[in-house]
Amino acid sequence: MTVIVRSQMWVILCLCGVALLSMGCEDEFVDKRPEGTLQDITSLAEREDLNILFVVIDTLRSDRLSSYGYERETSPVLDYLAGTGVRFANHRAQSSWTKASMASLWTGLYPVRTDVLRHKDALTEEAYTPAEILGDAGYLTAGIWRNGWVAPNFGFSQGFDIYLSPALNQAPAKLRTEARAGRIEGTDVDLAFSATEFIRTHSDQRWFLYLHFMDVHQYISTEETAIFGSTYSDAYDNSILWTDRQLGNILRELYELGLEDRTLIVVVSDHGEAFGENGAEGHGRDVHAEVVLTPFIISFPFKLDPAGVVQAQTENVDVWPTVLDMLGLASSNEGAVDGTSQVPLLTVGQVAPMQDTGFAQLDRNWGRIEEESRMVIAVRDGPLRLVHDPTAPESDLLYNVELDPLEQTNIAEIDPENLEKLKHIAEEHLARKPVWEGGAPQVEIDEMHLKQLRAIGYSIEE
Amino acid sequence: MILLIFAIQIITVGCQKPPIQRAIGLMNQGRWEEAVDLLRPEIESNPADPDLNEVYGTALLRNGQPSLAVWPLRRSYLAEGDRSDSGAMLAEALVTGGASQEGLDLVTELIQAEPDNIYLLSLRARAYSAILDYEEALADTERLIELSPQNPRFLEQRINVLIDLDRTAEASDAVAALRDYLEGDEGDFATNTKARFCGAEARFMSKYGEQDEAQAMFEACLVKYPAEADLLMPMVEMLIESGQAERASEVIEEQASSKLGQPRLRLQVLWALDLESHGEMERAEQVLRGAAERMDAPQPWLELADYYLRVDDMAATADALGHAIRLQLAGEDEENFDYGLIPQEGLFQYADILIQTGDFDRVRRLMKSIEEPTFVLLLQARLKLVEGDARGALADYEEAFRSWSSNAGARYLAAEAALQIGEFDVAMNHYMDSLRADADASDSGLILARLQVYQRLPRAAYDTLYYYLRNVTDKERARDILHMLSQLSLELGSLPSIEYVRDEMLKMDDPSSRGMAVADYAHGLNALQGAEAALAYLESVESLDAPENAQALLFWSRLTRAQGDAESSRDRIEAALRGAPESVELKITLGEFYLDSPETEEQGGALLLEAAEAAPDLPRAQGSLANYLSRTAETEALVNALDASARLDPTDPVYGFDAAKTLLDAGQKEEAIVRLGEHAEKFPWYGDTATQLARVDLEEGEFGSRTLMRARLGSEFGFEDPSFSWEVLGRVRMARGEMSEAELALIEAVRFGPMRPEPHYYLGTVFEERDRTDRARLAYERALEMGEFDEAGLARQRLDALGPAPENLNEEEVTQ
Repeated sequence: MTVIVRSQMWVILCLCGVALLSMGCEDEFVDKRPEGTLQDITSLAEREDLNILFVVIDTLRSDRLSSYGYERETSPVLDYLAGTGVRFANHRAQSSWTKASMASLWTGLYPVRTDVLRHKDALTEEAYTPAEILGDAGYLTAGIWRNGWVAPNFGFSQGFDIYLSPALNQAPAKLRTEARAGRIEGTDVDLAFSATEFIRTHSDQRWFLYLHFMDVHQYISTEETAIFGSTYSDAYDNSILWTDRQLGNILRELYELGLEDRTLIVVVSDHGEAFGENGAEGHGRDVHAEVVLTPFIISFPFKLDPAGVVQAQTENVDVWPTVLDMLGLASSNEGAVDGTSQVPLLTVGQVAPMQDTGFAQLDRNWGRIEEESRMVIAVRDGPLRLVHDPTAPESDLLYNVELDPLEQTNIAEIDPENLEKLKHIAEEHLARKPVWEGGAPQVEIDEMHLKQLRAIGYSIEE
Repeated sequence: MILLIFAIQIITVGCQKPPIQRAIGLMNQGRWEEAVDLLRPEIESNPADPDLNEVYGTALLRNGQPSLAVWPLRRSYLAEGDRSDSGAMLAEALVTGGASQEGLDLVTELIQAEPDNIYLLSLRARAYSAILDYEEALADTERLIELSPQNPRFLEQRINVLIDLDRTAEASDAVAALRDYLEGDEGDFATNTKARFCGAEARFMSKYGEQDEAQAMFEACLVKYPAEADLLMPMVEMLIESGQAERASEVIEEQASSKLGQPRLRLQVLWALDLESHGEMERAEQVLRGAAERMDAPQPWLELADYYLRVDDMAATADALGHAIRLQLAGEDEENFDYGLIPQEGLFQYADILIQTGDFDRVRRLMKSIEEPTFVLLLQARLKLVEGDARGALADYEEAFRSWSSNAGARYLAAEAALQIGEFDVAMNHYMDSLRADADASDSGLILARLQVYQRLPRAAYDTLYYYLRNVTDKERARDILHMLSQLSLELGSLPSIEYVRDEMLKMDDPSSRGMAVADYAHGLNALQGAEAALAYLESVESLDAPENAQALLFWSRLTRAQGDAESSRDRIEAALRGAPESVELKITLGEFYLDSPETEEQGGALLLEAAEAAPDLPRAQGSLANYLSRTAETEALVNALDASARLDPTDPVYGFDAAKTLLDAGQKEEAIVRLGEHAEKFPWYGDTATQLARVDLEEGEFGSRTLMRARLGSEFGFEDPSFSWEVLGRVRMARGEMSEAELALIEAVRFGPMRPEPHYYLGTVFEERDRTDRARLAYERALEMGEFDEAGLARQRLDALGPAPENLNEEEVTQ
């Protein structure tokens, strides 16, 4: 039984008719959105003036956000969006590696169905992406991205009028800082300035803007945002605060131009980050909780009071079916969508069928061209989640994620019946065919692109 | 008055230009950012105004912000009417601002209207290259050459694109054409440019396999353009690739030592590097020092400093850097140096080196000129560390990590600081963070894994090493990691892990690693599946008798002997050695086989001695010899063998420790203490050394904070004899009057070594001190039950002094 919990914790923020939005910047400014309710979601489809701001914060795990229960105040801006919108509390990505995850996010299809699993795989031109859908519906579509895995040659620019990876040093000269003592040039500041300019220049138009932040992936912060300490885990938190500030700077422009009451803001991530919880560091190695539990926050052109918190298990494949449903647009890919719109859940509390099963998948040899595939797949069925390696089933791990969300206690030995059941589901899932004949096309990656990907920490062997 | 105000207002309004015009005025003066600032509010009010967007976008573009300029320029271009003027600007913004495909599409459209526009064609060529369409990039470049045949930039661009297309023959022809063009020139092009293209053609020729022609061409170019580094370097590369390394060295030396070559730093550096590659370190130093002294300029001294850094001579590095800086600052005396003229990064590195050479005064002077707070913190921290303020050092490091969390070297030093103050968990975290920051920067991964092993956490150690292996690029290091992983896999009883390690080691280039893979896997099979499985595997190995599998052959022979067939084992090894009589590895195998049996032990020892003399730089030879000598009373020989092993494997602390311990056990205390001290400096995390030093301190009557730290480090990470390590800690605590802590430590000592009398005895003295007479009595009794030990007499005396136990004493109650 899944329930939407009306969160009372944000009532304090919404006591007044007009809320002050403090984003950690020097200026506070006013949120002039009208009050609304979840029912008002159904009226979004009738609007012809809506903008869509779709934010992907690479490598962001949800349990490091204050609004998701983290004790540190890493994310005041995101918390505000969640506190006046809807937060999906038990949300997962489809993979722990960007390209596979993003292919699923855009198409609403599981990785086995997009077939984007290895480093040379690209998203097929046959995919009908949200950018294409929105473009066909009359939106100006723009993407500003900084992760090489979502580059145009991998098929991710489909449908965007402009798909741009910002040059370095795009801040005004007086704000540019030298790279000194561990700080690097080329950060999300460049993305933020480009995004702000886009919003400024198109304030009178209807647009869809996709932003792909990378500074959390790179653990970038400044002296001002490095307030949580100096271990690597602290550095990760520092980078979240820094990114939250960059997002705040973009939203400031939105608010100053008075666009907040006609912009739908969606915040997600492609995967999380491990700090040894299950023996691994980083991401792209397995599909445990720490690398797939990601945020999903929607901020509407109106403020919710109280905010909504969805406890149902949701996934990134649900994101675009939900957003498109809100906009009254048909979903993509010839109806073959694995994800489910959460609009019925939000508006009438109706649980969609297939709500209680979910999958995440990774080919552990995604970056090793000489090696065969080595899949690991996670199946969630109700409260149970299985992490299954078909080549080493003796090492399968079973968890009760309602009691043990971070997957620390393996119950495989004490629940063999469910272990077998979920293994069967996993094997069936892995046997599914890609949606498109021929699966994912392959592209060659040149040396320069390989170097760029290695520079952001990916180990790709040729 | 009112009229005057109106008049002033009218005049003001009449003189006020519209923002666009004012912006254009600023742009004409190159004041781009001001123009942007001026127009920004206008755009916010009138985002649809095409003229405004065009000017604003142009200002952004010229202000170096193409990723911002894209948006207003696009808006302008797409507006109704003839907006073609903004098209070129937009195309430039798209291409340089990160939207190459869109830029390409637009510029193609524009070129249709202006097919001979050089600017647009250049832009399109660049865009095609950005999206890897080199064929089209080439087509545009050739059109550019047609339109501007005298522009060498386009000629060179064509060569680059041909190379990208792997059309080497045409690239070579293009190079020849450019070379002819440059040689026909009478002055505009620098000699080194001409030299470069003279050699480039030869280089291309060598890529077709026409080595002789290429070499002849290079030699001819050298005659024309002697001592030109841009020509010499590709020639040297070609000679080395074609197996003529000796000729390469000759050419370098000829050119670099010539009259023309001597003043050319690049040649001197090339020569020195060549000498280094042949192990001629002294000559390399002479070349660089000669250049530095001759040229009397900062850069040659910096090159010399780099050399000293490579050979790890910090004092000489500091000296050379000092020369460079003095020359840079043109002769001022040092007291008045304005170090602020030196780049911050350079100052930081110089200061860091000076700390390592102990020139603290100069460091402090330098630091006054360092503005970057993180650099100051790191230098302060390092100073504090060497001056003994580990706690202060750690605090400064952790503050610095807020800005620079990925400084692997600083993380490593922070770990050392943490160890010194007993913050062991913090130390291990910093080692882990050092590894995360840069796996190749140090051996932090190996240290961390060892510490985890010492803490009896093999799983954690395995995970650390697995992570390390996935991130390290140094093959030597990878081999060390794999070997440790192999041992841990065995300990964890994980056959898949053992197989994984085997597979990885079999991929390595060097035969010894591959041989080790076979041997380790066989050990694993034996441990997990029994001797039969191990033997079956070994017998399936095709070249088991080959020298590279000498260790596996030894294991096979041991298994076979254990099954009762000693003769076959011996015969097989002897046959293998007869087949490869020069093989030291097989000799060692035979020697170790002989050692296994008392009858042939002496024979074995002799063989191992022979092997070690024949191959003093073979780690296995020294290790095996040391193993044999440890059974004998030949202390000196054993210590020499251990020293040799330590020299050959400087990252493994075991050999150095064993050597010191051998001397200690042999009563050569003074030398042992010196060695232990040096060992502790080199391996500050090595618990067993710390234990021994703490023990020595105790014997000398010392039990201050340093002794306590040593004892704590020993108890945390001691591996050889954990019971003894805890006992030492207990005794230090006792000496310090910290009885409660002493009791806990000695309980641990008993836990690890219940059959050792000493921990029981010392525990007894603690109980006695704490008036727990009954427990003291029991502890003394237990100690004495285990036989004689040094303090047995004292134990009896104390037991007697306590008197008999009460009649109804319940031992269980007493020991709860």
